[in-house]
Amino acid sequence: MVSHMPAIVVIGGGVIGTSVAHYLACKGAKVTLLEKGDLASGSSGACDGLIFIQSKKPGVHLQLALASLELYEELYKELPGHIEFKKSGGMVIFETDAEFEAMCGYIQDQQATGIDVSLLNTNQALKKEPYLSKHIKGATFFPLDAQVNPIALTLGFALSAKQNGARIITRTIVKGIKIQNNRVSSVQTDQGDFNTDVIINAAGANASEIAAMVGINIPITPRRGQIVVTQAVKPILKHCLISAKYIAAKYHPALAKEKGEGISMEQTQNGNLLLGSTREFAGFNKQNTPEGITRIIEQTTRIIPELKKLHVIRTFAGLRPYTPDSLPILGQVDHPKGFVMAAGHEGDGIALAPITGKLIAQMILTGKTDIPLDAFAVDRFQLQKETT
Amino acid sequence: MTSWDLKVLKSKYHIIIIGCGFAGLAAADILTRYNLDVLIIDENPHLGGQLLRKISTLKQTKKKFELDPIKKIGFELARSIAGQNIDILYTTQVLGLFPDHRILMVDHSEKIVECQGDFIICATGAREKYLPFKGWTIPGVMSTGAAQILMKSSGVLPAKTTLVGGTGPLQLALAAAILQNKGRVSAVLDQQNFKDKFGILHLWQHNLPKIIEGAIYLSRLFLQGTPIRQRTGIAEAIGKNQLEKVVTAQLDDQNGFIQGTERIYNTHALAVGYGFTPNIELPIQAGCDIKFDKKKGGWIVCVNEDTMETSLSAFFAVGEITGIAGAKKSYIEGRIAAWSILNQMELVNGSKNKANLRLLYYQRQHQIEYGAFLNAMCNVSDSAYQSIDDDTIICRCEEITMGDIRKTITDGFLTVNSIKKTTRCGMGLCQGRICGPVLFDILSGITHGHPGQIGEPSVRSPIKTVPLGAFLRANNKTEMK
Ligand SMILES: Cc1cc2nc3c(=O)[nH]c(=O)nc-3n(C[C@H](O)[C@H](O)[C@H](O)COP(=O)(O)OP(=O)(O)OC[C@H]3O[C@@H](n4cnc5c(N)ncnc54)[C@H](O)[C@@H]3O)c2cc1C
Ligand SMILES: Cc1cc2nc3c(=O)[nH]c(=O)nc-3n(C[C@H](O)[C@H](O)[C@H](O)COP(=O)(O)OP(=O)(O)OC[C@H]3O[C@@H](n4cnc5c(N)ncnc54)[C@H](O)[C@@H]3O)c2cc1C
Repeated sequence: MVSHMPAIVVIGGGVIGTSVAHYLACKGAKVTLLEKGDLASGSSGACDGLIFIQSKKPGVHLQLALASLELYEELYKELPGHIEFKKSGGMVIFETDAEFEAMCGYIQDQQATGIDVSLLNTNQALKKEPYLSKHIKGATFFPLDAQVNPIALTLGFALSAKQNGARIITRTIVKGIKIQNNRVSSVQTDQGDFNTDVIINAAGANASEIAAMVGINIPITPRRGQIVVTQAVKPILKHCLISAKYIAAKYHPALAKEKGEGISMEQTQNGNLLLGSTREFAGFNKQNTPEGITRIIEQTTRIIPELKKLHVIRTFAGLRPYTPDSLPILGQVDHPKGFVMAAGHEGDGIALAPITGKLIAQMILTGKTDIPLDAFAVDRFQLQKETT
Repeated sequence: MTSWDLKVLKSKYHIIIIGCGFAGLAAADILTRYNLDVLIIDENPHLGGQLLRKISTLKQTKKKFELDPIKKIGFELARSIAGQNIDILYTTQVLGLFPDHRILMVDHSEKIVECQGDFIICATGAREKYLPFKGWTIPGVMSTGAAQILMKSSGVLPAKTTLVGGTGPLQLALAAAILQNKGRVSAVLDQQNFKDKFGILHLWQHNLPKIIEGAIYLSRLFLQGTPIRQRTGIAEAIGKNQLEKVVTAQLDDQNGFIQGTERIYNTHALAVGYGFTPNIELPIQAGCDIKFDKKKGGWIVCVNEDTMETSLSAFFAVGEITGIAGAKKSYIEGRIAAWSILNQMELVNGSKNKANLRLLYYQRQHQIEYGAFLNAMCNVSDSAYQSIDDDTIICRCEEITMGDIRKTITDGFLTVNSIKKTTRCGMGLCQGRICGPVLFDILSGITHGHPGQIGEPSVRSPIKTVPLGAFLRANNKTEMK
């Protein structure tokens, strides 16, 4: 525990870094956030805004997501700007009987943890979402799944942090970290050095680079996601939708290979539909590919044929910070002291941003956290290596 | 005109020319002599781009005395190339360019097709820039280019009486053309004044023919008694569903309107132009290096000056997209690219080719100097952007006003991208095609920031909107052999 207020540097102005800065600044901590480009110029500005609860693996993952959802209930009133938080409810769409069977076990697990996911047949699903294609075999429904505008959220966190005394510095690239007596002592950037007691690594897909600056090897790699944006139209979708293949792609990559990546669909407050997304390992390449775009369009128009008439106005791609077990890396490392990880949320960073910020702030300022961070420790990967 | 469709398409070509204005024509003229598989794609229904615009008027134009000999060359080229045994896709838009030189395109029936070229020549030209004022989105307010297109392609006057404003030489040409077509011009307003033009006097020496052309336009206007008002800007366009009147006023040194100098014009058409911005969406999307050069008209594609090859190998950029300088530079660059490609394919004698290229290189430098003159003539000063009224709409699609943008800048957002994210300026249906360059100019006018910091434009495929259904392979296969 630290007795005086430590000087804290957050590296990364994505949803995670700004959330951490918000929760720290609100408690009166001395925070400086460093971002190499603009705020939300990484994955947080190139993603969907789903706060999908029913897609999370039962266990710690689900526990984090539920705690995060609770925080959203306050955040959308507290944060400056309009973060477009909406409890729209979510549906997972099945297109084949095989998918239905594969998902049954998953649903049972969820129900066992008290998550009230209901199963809908084709007619029931169509009643909820009239534009669904009649060929679908059914869907699950969970009323608490929600959505948010991820860019507005990131900017809202940043502005709130600023209003509470944090310094938000963009266009500043972190180049190195100085260590003294086994403690971090300063962050070196292209705009000069920043002395600090604590460094939080929230550099998203670049988090491995930052960790390497203090000699730590972490398995965060970029996993590209491409998205298609349609013109704004009157409400077509009431809920957020994902296909059953999405869950398969996330947790059983082998299964996804033969079945495709699975898709997600949401309509923003502005009326645009966000149709996502691919899951590819292509290094730091953020380009869109004709194959990726076509795959998304083929799958989404099959589920909602009405989409065929809408115009694509934009495509983009973001780099999810992927970890091998799909869980983020959170918390203090053993060496050097003062180096804290807050990265690796892969496809869940928006959903998990509030709770991540809160827990990291608690850990730094009080040494205790509402939810234990053990399951998210960086050494889980090293331990795994040793036992196998 | 032959009606083409995507069925004629081969899956692979030696050379694909995207955009066939002057630059594309010049390249095609040389390349078609070597028995190569050449594909030309243009979104217009004719060859020749901005300068020729309409092929069906070719015959009339032939009889007419053509002031600018380059137009005559253009018409001849267009005719000769349209008759060659090569594939030409009219009314077809290129939407994206990907590694391996794969091209994604869509025709008028909204089918998306892919094909590939060993070499790509991108010659997509330029479009007009805007300086927003109150009411600039009312129907009846149009760009000088749009007014020209109306007359050239459809033979229609913008209105019985047209008010012409903005900066640059196109205003005079337009006003003269309107008069020639028996229309009326209430006045020609020039944002700049003679003083500004004296400031660029040193650039005039290279541009005698253009100045003579300008003088001819001017004398035509004089003869018809059209007032030409220097240092006069447009304060407001007024009208509900159609332009009814325009308020103009003289400008002070800071480009603010001088009280008491207002004039009201009752007119249904206002044509304005403030220079050009290169159509570099495709090269950006493909990943070519770009740079900002004010003398060349803003953001342009970087090229090897000897070959016109971009930072991507076998991908060439020619014409206005490497710097605004008019048809002659486009013509020269198209030829340079063609000879360079033939050289890479080892189809031409090396030393002879070198001599060709050297000559073209010097001709090109000369035209670049003319370009600097042209762009200076069109220049809108920083203070003009600073004095845009808060109520003025900047982004038409999302209805974002100057006031919204000013506030965001005051909040500390100083880049195009961050302002886009906070205000949604440029996130609407047109994806910032019009307001993107405007937002850049506003930011640079207000903050005086470095262009690289204010932000390089970013573009993704598809570079223009298309229905989702167009991407469905199942649909397209049945149509394609
Ligand atoms: C297509 C797609 C769809 C998605 N959909 C969803 C969804 O629906 N719901 C959901 O919860 N999640 C979703 N995600 C995941 C979500 O986007 C990420 O988990 C989240 O944005 C990660 O946030 P971050 O702050 O860790 O990373 P980022 O937003 O990438 O932020 C990291 C920041 O660090 C900066 N940085 C990097 N290196 C340095 C350096 N050396 N110096 C200074 N700054 C540096 C970067 O510029 C960047 O801004 C999706 C992702 C993608 C790609
Ligand atoms: C509105 C306007 C009016 C002009 N009027 C005059 C004038 O009156 N006199 C004068 O001297 N100069 C005029 N110019 C300048 C003119 O641009 C140059 O003189 C010269 O014609 C430029 O040749 P280019 O080949 O570089 O470009 P352009 O002539 O502009 O040709 C570009 C071609 O590319 C095509 N294209 C663009 N994008 C795509 C795509 N994605 N897919 C397929 N095809 C595409 C276009 O249809 C066009 O045919 C005008 C320019 C503009 C923008």
